[in-house]
Parts: sequence; structure tokens; C-alpha cells
Amino acid sequence: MSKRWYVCPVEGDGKSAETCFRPRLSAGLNWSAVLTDRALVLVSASEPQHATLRSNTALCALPALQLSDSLDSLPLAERTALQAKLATFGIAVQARGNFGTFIRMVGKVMDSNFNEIRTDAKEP
Amino acid sequence: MATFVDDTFTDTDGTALDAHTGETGAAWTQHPSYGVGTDSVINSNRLRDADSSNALVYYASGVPAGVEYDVQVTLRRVAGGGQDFSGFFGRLSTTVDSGYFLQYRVDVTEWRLFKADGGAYTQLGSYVQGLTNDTDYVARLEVKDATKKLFVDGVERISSTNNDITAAGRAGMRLIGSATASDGSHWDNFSATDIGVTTTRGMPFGHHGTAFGGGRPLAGNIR
Repeated sequence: MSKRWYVCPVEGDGKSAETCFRPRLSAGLNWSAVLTDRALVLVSASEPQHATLRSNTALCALPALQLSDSLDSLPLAERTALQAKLATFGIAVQARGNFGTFIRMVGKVMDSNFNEIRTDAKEP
Repeated sequence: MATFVDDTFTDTDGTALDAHTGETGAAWTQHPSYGVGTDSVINSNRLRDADSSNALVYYASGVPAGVEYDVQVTLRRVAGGGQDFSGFFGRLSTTVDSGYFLQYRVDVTEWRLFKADGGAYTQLGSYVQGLTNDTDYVARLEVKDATKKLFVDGVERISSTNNDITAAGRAGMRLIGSATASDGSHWDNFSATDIGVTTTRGMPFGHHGTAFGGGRPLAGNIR
């Protein structure tokens, strides 16, 4: 499983490239932001960024599943914890069913045009 | 493909960028949203920043045939300890601070892709790459409606589907940092090339049928 998604707060004032709106991530990571002009952004990233990103409690790491997988394969406790974490970001989405559909639902909270198929994250 | 900007920055040392004219479509104009500060200058037939406090943005005179084009430039980090945050633009508006901006940020050794929209900068992606001093790196910003991509030495490093800035605009440079003759980011071989415009010349239209029929981007089939 290479590419993964993270819900991440946005920082910056956007007034210049040096103080841009960007995901609140430390420098030294490779990522691609799916959308960017809201208070939250869905960030996609690839290995080897995951260990660092998962340890960042300011983020919500979405499960390491393929888009075709089902969230129902995860333990109930894990799905409940995921829903609770998303709720802290104001995202009320049921963690069940097809993972691709779930990603799209989360993405659409921040961008009505979100489509998970078009996201990308490059390997180093 | 039609190259509408080509500049090797060959000129006398110290020549200000807006007093220099390159090979093709490369008369440079300071962007009206910036313009306060010391002009960026030619240095050993490369371009470098000369103002450590202010960002300066310039756009080239060459006009793209459409909204999809590549902007390519060679970056050389000259040995030194200074900081530099310079980079280059595609779809740069000539009136407002809007476009897609690709920056190499020295302090964190990252390539960063931004959307500038009416002066509001949003980072779309990031790629970490330490650069070896006095070595050339060819950076290409591929600007298509579907994606904006960074390639470094031909390898794709950042990809974003953002297309909020839709006007063709111009190719340009944005320079800020503490570059000197012996330090900082020095830029060379600036070019901008239309994607999928002139390669169709003289080809029977029927050859493109599969491109349309397959639902794939036309440019992707003919490049």
C-alpha cells in the first residue's frame, strides 16, 4: 500500500509564497494536496512519508486500504475510532462500505468536486 | 511544438532582466503586483536575484498559443550559505498576481508548487530534493488543464489536479533571496513551449481519431 490520505489542517495567510496556505506539515515530506483553500485539506502522500505523518496527532490518517476495499473489513473499534477522529475535524462520515466511496465522501466535505481517482502522490 | 519563449540569459554581467532581451519572446517586464526592489540581473550568462528583501516577478513577452504549455528552466545552486526562494511561473497573469508558481526553497531543500490567485498563495504539492552545488537541474512545469506537474531532469516529482487558474497568461520568473555572484540560485535556459500545437501540422486529421475516441487528452497522444 503506497499512497495514503490524511486530513490535515491548513496554515498560513496566503499573502505570499513564503506564507502560503499549506497543510500543517513539517518540511521534508513529499505530498500532494487535493484541495487547499479551506480550513482543512485532504493530502495524499506515498512511502516513506507515512511513519512521520501517522505520528502527527494533528492529522487524521485514513486507513491503509485500496479504493476497492471495504471498510467493513476493519475491526469495529478501528472504524469507531476513525469516525470519532474525523468528527473532531467536523467531518461526519460513516466509516463503512467501499473505501473509495468513503474517501470521496470525506473529500467532498472540503471540495464538492473532489474525485479520489485524480489524486496523486509521487514516490521519492 | 512551438517554443514561444527562449532565453539563455546571455548578456553582460549586471544587466537588469527587464533591460535584457533573450532569443525568442524574451523581453521581460516587471509584474505590476511587485516592482519594488533591486532588479534581478544577469550573472555569467545566468539569471539571479539581487534583492534579498523583496520578491520581484517578471513575465516574458512571448504569448502561448493556448492554455497548455511547458515552462522549463535550468537551476544551478552556486556554492554558498545564502537562502533563496526563487522560481518560475506558468499561466502568470500580466495584471494580477495569479498563476502557477514552482519554487525551489533552499532552506528546506524542497520543490514547491503553488497556485497564486489574486495574490493569495496556496501550496499544491511538495518534493524534497537536496541539490548538489554547481550542478545543473532541469526543472519543467507542465501546465495542462488536467494536471500541473513538476519534472526534474525528466522525472515527475509533483502532480496536482488544481485548475483554478484557467487563463493562458505568460511564462515568468519570481526571484527572492540572497543570491550573489558566488551564492544562491542561478537560472539558465528559460523556455516555454506550447503543448500539442504544431506537431499536428501536416498530419491528416484522421490520425487523431483514436485520441478523441479513447477519451484521452489529445496532448498526451501527440507529444
